Amino acid sequence: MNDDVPDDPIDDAFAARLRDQLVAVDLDAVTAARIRRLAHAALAGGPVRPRWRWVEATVGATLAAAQLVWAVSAVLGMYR
Amino acid sequence: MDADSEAAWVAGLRRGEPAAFDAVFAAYRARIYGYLARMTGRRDLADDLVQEVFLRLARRGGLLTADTRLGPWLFTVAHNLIVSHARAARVAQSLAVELGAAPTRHDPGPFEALAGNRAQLAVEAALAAMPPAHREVLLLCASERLSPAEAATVLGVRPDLVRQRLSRARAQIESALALDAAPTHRRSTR
Repeated sequence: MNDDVPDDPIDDAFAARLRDQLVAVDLDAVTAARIRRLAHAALAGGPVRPRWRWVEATVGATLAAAQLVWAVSAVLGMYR
Repeated sequence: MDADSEAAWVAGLRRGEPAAFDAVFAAYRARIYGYLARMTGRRDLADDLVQEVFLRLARRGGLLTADTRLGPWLFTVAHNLIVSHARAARVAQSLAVELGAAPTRHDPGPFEALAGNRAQLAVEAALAAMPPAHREVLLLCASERLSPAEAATVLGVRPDLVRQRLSRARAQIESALALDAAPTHRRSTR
């Protein structure tokens, strides 16, 4: 598509320079501990209630749709 | 990340071993978090998404194939979560506009306030300002050292498109750094 674009436009020197100039970041300890705890529970228990996930998703989507309809009708009602 | 360690971690995940999860989490959590925060522009949202990435790893670890490469796998999940979030945000934004809420403003990058020097600030600001598609390939290929082919698999696009975006993203970063390094005569004469 573009003959003038090299196979790997990012050489090691540029990548290293960019990495050096990015702010070093990490999760805070509380969040990291929470994720580990939840993940270990998932590993121990296998899939989490797989039969109920579609029910939760359906109920969630229905509630969201109802809220949307309510919000739109409330706004329309203000201009009546 | 050497191949032997990664293969051992994948084998452990396939057996549901918490120690294997911990090793992967320690090796990748900062990288996935940095990628998610820079792509979404929000550290609080990145916290939630990084949790979802690693919970999916825990839930689906048993389904990994022995030759799974964890870096591309984790970044693929992270990318898909960003796309899903962006879709939901677009719906919410169009609804907010419809209902008369204030339009969104352009926020600075999530880590600009943490920059320790001018070069870091210039890079973080340039990343935040560039188009998300360019930012994403730069983070995956330069920061995370995925090959253009691996990044293409993560993003679900052709490798030549990744190379094209990379080339443009590199030019944008170099331009930002050159501007930052240029002498500021006007400021110095005052």
